[in-house]
Amino acid sequence: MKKRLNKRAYFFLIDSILALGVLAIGAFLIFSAYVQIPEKSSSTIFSEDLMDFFADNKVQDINNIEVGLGGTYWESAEVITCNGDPITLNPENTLLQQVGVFYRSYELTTKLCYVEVIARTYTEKLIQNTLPPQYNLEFWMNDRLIYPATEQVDSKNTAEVLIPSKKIVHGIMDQQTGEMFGSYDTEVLVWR
Amino acid sequence: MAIKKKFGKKGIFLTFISIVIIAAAIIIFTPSDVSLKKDLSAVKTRVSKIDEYVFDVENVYLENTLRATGRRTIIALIKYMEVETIRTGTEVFLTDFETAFSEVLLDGKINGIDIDSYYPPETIMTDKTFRDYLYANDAISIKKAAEKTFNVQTVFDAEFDPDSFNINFIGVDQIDPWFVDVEANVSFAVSTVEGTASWTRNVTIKTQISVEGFDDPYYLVKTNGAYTNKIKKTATKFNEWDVAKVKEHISSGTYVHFQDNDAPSFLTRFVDDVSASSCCGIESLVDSDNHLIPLDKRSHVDYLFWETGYNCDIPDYTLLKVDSVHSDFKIDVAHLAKYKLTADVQLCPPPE
Repeated sequence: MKKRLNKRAYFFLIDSILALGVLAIGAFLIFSAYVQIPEKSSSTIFSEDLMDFFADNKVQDINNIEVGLGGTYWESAEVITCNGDPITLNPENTLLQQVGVFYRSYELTTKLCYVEVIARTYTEKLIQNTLPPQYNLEFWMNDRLIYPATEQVDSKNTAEVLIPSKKIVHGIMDQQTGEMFGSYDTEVLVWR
Repeated sequence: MAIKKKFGKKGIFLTFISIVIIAAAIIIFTPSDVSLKKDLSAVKTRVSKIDEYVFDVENVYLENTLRATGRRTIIALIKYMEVETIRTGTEVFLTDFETAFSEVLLDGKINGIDIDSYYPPETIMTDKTFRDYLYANDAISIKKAAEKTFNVQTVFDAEFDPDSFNINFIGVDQIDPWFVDVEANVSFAVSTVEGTASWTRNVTIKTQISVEGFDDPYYLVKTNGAYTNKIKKTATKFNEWDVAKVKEHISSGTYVHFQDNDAPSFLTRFVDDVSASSCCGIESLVDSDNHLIPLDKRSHVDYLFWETGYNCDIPDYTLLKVDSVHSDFKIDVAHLAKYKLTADVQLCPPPE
């Protein structure tokens, strides 16, 4: 009777150790899976949110002392050097359409400053402090890099997750003449 | 003792069986292809993106394009009427505005001839027709942009034939004196090149084009291109008219819509039809200082000025002179009251 009881205790001990092992492995698998998910979804969210921010907000809705409607930047020497005159934004355009207008101005005049100076500064001021520092982004329009100034090839090659968000931008450039701009394919890339 | 041995064997056997069953269950229920989940997510994201594109085409792109190309079409038609009137020396009006509008809007042609060829080197419709913005194999078309951006095929045709382009219906009308209503019925299909999803839509797009800013075709044709008057709505209300307001109305070439008017609408000015449009009639006053036009004994209300049925040769036609506006300013009795003017001289019939 005594021997039978000893054997059972030994059996239960091994059984509990095995059970604990199973629990530990299970917990490890679950938590390691959770650690990976937010990394990808954050990039997706940031990339989608940034594109939606540009596509859904109108120029008149942005309260920015520099690049908002009637902002100081539009009368700056940089803008006048490129455009010849101060720029008046169309309040009904979305932010994405406004970048499209600058791109169209570049197409019509072949002056690169419309994209490399004006559109870049506009984009930069709008997205300032919107992304956590560990994230990188690029803003492209019709295969031309709008922001930042140089393509971050090495950084993109080593990125764990790189999420693009795409949209087609188009609109009316001049209501009087019916001149249109677009269709341009636009892409926001976010990675870390 | 014999019983004890029997139980021990059963325990090991049952444990072994249970391990085998659990192992089998794990193998069976573990997703065999881990990447399938990722693929499903990728397909879902792709479908959702293309769905946004279809929504954008249906609700924004078609309307914007119809409004912009509609405006260009009207500019091209006015230019065509002006240059053809000057070239031929005869008044060139359109026989059917809607037909001409549809042809120019879709193909940039009038009576089968490229409309831009009438006024070189100016180009208004070249590469900028409704077809070009929707379907051209050019970077500007939504079809090309969607191919590049989303890898999808977009077809604008009622039968969804990828090699065809058809717009089911284009209509033009006016129910407001200051806007032209344009309507188009479009069938389109969007499908992914890999065939995972497709969308078909039939939509009626309506847009309004402001008539302000267009040259009045009636002035251009009637004066052989000598008198250009841009359409601009007057700020004067019906009860505010007086001599000063009339002078300003003439000098700035503005147009007015009276509630009880007999004037033609903007659209009927393209077809030389000066019959009254109760909803949409607009009128201006011809400037007496414009020396490019002969100043006969006619009312200076634009649609009466160049029509033969409204002058002193017609028995019982009443024409009055209003010197306070201009020494050459003449107006018919009905408009004298509308503009709240006082006549100085009755030109016809001769006062008794």
